[in-house]
Amino acid sequence: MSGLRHRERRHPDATAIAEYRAGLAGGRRGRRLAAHVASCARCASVSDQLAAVSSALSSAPAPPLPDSVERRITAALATATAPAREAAPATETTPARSRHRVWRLRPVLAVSATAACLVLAGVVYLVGFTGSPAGPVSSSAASSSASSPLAGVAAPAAGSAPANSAAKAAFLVTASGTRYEPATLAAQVRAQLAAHGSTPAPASSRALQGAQRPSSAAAGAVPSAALTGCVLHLTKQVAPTLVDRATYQGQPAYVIAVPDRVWVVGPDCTASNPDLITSIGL
Amino acid sequence: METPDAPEPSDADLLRRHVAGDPAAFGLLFQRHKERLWAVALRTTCDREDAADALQEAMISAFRRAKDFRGDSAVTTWLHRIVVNAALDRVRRRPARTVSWSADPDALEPLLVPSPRADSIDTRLDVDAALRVLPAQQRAALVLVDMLGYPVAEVAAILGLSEGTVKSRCARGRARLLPYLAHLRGDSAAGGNQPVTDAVSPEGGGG
Repeated sequence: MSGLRHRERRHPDATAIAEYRAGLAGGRRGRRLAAHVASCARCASVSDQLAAVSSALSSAPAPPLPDSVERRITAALATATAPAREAAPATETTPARSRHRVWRLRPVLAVSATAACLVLAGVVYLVGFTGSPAGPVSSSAASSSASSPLAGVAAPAAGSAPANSAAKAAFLVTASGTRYEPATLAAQVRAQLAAHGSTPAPASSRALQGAQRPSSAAAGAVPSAALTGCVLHLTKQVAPTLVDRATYQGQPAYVIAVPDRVWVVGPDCTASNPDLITSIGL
Repeated sequence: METPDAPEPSDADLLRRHVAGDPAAFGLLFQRHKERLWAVALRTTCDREDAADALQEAMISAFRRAKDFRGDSAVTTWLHRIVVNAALDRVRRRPARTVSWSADPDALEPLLVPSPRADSIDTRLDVDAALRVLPAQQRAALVLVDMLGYPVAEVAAILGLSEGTVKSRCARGRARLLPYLAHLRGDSAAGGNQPVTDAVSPEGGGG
């Protein structure tokens, strides 16, 4: 590796010293290294610095798991429960809707990943590294598809028009005005499903009882990209049977249902932060 | 965190209960180890969103594959292995990114959450940035050994490598980070936990 043939004036490189410190330099080579480091101020200093590197690494505080990430994973685990028990993918239970599984990418994450990359690049810059790992800065959200590991499936970039058709295909949002309560949640959801069919299809023009929103609510509104990401994240990309803007325990909330489960989320639900209030089986 | 009937179930108990159909067991397991697993994912990917994705992917995978766990390693080793693999997979699949400005200023914030000790912020930012210069495989080994303090033997089990390979990757990683982190010597040596002089004695260097 670090072809070491050190004589009096030939110093081992940092890698050789690090290997020696790690116990990887045995026998004669190890003894030579030991003798050299012991007698050479410069290499002893390198050895000290290597210890300092380990020390800096071990003393760097670990950033705690963000609440949003924890909630998201907890929610994902909650939704993973049902399919795992039957060992059947969700698509097989709802074959008719599989064509709606168009969004595999969570748009909010794509944007956030870009932001995270940007900040880290900024940190690198501030720290004063000479070789910048980041490429040239380009403008706008151009990288939302480029930065996605799943680019090519769909590119629901913020503010990009093509995303609209995909959103339309996925589901529409009703606003039934229902006041959902914990004790009656399942029954109220069933009532909603019965009231306007099991799927709020895009073409549905059925009027909803007690709708608060004058026009758009009756037919169902096209969801925002954030809400779409949230819903499909929770349902594991399965088109929901109900997405209802309403209240839960008096607070604004979305009630999201698939045939066997209901989620209640806060109004700011996104894929990366589902803001899950509760979830029950149907 | 505690259940009335079994005050402190072992990881293996929880996994068995999960396989047997206990809906809460896996969540308890996640709660128990989430911080360390997050640290592994975050440090290995060097990217918060990738880390979140990797951790989620890994937990779902562990959740589903729990019945395949043979018990020939600790549950934590198994969990770590799944997380590291998911994290490395993320890094591998990550295309060379072009940096662009985000429309969402909130997305920047989580990275900048200050840690309690002001002086540790500099260290953390330096370390975060420095880790990015390492190849991912090297970084994974160094993160587990030096940052999280796991024994080399356990890291070897997590990564599926020989102990010698783990030590070698760590040694190379430390050497490579030296130009970036050596300046922290003053601060960290004072509060650090590694004897700075051990290499001077020929017997030293256990590793």
